[in-house]
Amino acid sequence: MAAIELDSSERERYGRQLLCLGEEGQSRLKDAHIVIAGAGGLGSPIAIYLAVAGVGRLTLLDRDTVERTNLNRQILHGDADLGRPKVESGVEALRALNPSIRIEGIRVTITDENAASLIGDADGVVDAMDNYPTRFVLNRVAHERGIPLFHGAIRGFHGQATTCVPGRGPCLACLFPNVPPKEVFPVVGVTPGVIGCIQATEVIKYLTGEGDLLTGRLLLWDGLACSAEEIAVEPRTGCPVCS
Amino acid sequence: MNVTIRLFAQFRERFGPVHELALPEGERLAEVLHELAGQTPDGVAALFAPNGRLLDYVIVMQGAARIEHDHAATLELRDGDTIAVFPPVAGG
Repeated sequence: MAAIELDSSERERYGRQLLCLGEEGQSRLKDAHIVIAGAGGLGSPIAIYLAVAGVGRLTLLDRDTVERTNLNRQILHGDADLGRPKVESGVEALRALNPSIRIEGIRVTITDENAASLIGDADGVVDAMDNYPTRFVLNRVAHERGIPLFHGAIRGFHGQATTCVPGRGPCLACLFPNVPPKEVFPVVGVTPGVIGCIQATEVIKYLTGEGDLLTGRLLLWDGLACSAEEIAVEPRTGCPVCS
Repeated sequence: MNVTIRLFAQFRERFGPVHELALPEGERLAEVLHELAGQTPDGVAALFAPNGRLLDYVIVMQGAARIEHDHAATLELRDGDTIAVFPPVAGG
């Protein structure tokens, strides 16, 4: 018996995925709270697909306003949103897609000091950031809370994704001990589309218990070759976060 | 011995996706990567700092284990090794 009942409207809305997830899987999505850190290129497809999938509570974190240079990839936002906080236009777009879930946006710079309270009692954190220092903050807090970090990053036609589940595999700091140099990264919008969809898929799998997660595996996407390869990754002895 | 070097992201565009190398026994990881990088204009600077160390953020994996850069200079490759080399991509 599912923990949370679905109403008739939800059974209709999610009818096609009930065929995959069943009523129990769908009710697990409805019962979940996911924090999406970043409402940009990755955060857009992640938030859209988690919203329409029926994740019951989404928290969108971002500090920026919408700029024209964002619009080749950040599909939560459009021309009419230029100058608006991304969390404002993002939440508006998501509510239009699925008014039956709870969506909140917080305009904030994620720091060491505020990350734990921003993540709160969430069931998972999706890394849709554009820099490693903030990713490492999210990684540490997610590990402390015992919740997964769904990592993704992109550059040009290339992307990477992995899912860090405490106690079940390496964390982000096991894999990436040092920060790459800052740059204005090149990107074609489809790349965060691909990687963001992989991250959203991981979230849905984690919450419903379906399939095999990208735990202990780094997926590397090459859009130019249209190939996805993976590297097995072990927890690192002496990792300052998880060992 | 035979060793496979796989490259990813912008390193793939610079050096190619995969190199199957037949090497004499005892070859060391950093030397092999340095020689491979040197076959491409500016390739050495893409992987190595002026002091000859691998750049801090370059990830080198031997199988599923990440190689500490201090260890790369002395690590002897083994027959059948697969080495992955990539920069973490950062954008979102």
